[in-house]
Amino acid sequence: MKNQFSLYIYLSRIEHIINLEDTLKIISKPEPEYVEILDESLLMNQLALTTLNDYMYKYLGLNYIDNIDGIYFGQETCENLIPTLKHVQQAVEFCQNNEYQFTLVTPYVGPKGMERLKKLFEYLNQETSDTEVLVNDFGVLHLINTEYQNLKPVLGRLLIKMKRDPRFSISGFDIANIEIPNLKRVEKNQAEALQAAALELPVFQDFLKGKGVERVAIDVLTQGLDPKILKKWGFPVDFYWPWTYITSSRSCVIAAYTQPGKESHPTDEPCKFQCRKYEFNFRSDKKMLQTVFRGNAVWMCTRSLYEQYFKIASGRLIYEPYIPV
Amino acid sequence: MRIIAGISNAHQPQEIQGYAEAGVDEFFVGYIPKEWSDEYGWELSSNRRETANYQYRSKSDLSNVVELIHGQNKKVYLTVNAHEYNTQQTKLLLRILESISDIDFDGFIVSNVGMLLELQKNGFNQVMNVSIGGGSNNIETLRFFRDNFENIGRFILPRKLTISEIEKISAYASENKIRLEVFGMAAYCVFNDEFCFTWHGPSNKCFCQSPMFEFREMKPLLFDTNWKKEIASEGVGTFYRRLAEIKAEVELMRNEYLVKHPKVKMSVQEVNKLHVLASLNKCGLCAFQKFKEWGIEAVKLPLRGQDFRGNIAITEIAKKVIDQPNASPKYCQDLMSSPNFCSGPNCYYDYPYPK
Repeated sequence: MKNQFSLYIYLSRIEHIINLEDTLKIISKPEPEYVEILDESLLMNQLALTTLNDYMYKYLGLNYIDNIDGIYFGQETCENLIPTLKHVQQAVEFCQNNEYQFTLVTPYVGPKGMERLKKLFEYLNQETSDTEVLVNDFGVLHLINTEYQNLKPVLGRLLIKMKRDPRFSISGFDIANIEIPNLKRVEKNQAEALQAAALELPVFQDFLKGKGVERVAIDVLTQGLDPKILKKWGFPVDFYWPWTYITSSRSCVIAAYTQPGKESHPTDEPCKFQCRKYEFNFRSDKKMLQTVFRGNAVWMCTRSLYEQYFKIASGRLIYEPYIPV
Repeated sequence: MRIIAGISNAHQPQEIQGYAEAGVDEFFVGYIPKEWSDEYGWELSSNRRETANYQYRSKSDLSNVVELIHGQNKKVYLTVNAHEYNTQQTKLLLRILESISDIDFDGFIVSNVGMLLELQKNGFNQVMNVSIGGGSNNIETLRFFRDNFENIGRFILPRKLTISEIEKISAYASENKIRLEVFGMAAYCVFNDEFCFTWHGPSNKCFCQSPMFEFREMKPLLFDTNWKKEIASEGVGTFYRRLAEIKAEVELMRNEYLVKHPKVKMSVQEVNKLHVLASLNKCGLCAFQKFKEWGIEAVKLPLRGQDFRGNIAITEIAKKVIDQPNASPKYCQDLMSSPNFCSGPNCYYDYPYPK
């Protein structure tokens, strides 16, 4: 019997939740001229769904669509895309009607974003019980701890800062040989350290438990993650798949594209939501996993690593049908 | 308002006096001894710089530089601000810090919460400044650190906060006697450092400076959330028309912006200032007056590893603005004397503000 994960679906648009059946539908293969114009997020929707379907059927004897435990809804990188209260209410209602657990996903925020989150927390704290809030900002964790104690914080993937870089996802990285007596030793130690995080420090685990954190979420990473190391973390560990977060900014590079000469556009200034109109694609001379700049963040597709991670996933698999922007 | 600048073994010890005379009040340094680099190389640094020439390597060099700085009656902080540490790295770093405990730092600069807890547990009672890696983007994060840790010194605010966000945070900070530091000039990056998990360093060029990032390609998004139904019901021609429409719309937005913000050409006089401007890449000088009024304690000039002559020129300009009462943006821009540089894109804090 294979290790069995619980399946959760992470979506950032309310339309995808309301039309969940469509969101998770495997369609017949479109004609090549359509495939050519589909963006990576849409293509990956079909590829990853097929992978998930095949894996769950083959190894777990389950149909993925009937085995969804919960919905993650929200936004991790841009406070301008935090869902409205109405959308959160709709998502909660959808989950209640379908007996799915609901988790609100929150980004790192500036002062205005924090005010937006307070409105959502106010509602969830009063109108729902024990709702999970995934936090990617220690300020948000503190706010929940001090003002919204009915909410259950989950440590998000942006607070576990293990290195990743699409350029070295397949080709590997170089080690600078500057005054290094034993390169092999460094190579081995680096490989170990890259699979680890400060979460393995008991003092940090106790601190987080004291803050009500009961589980943590991380990305699927190309350096691999040793289950023995994950065990040391002292929390159930959930994996995001197939879109791995790489980097992001409160100064949006996508929005700046319509302002030639500017490198970035501050989150705090009026946004025209250019992220709904276009993305950036990358080319590299190195072999690497597919990577796109969508919204204010860079995302790498780790669909191909499914076998390695599905086998060790004993917590939740947080499946992202689309890039969560 | 004070100036804090980074220095390293790339700088001659005698340069410290030059920096102090130019106006630097505080310094920060990194320390990667052989014990660390023999185990983890340079890519996994114990601080946020993954390059050999941004660090001190020997205890004697480090001790010497701290003495020289204190000799100038200036302060010096040690950076312990990598994003992550595993158990082995934590143990090694604590041993290294123990081995230099007789060096009198004025504090540490820390970002990882686990590391902060370990430092406290192991009796390091130094003042702990919260690095930008701590992600102090809002008031609640200041509260998080202040309520949970002793000896918190100053918060270094992330570079991506706007001037109006800094105003809100500093109003709270000043009421609650919380000390703040902001970035002043140079070392801009389009990404939020505290949430950038890519590789840096000499062998693996920063992602943001890589050709892959520089030559990114815009691709219109043709579909919204109902794409599965759309492709089943519409002919492909609809989407090619949409492709052309989005491209045209984006081009129009770009052109409209250019008409409103025409590019200013660089003059010969400005070319003569390239030793300053090239090191800067971004400048927040016009915001200094506001920072002073809001009680910001320090501005950071991250000049480590850069040319001494340019660094001194930058420091002197920053100092002039700090010392000038009511230093207006015009005063600052006259000091830069580079209309091209001050034409917009090089602003740290997106002047003119508010929009």
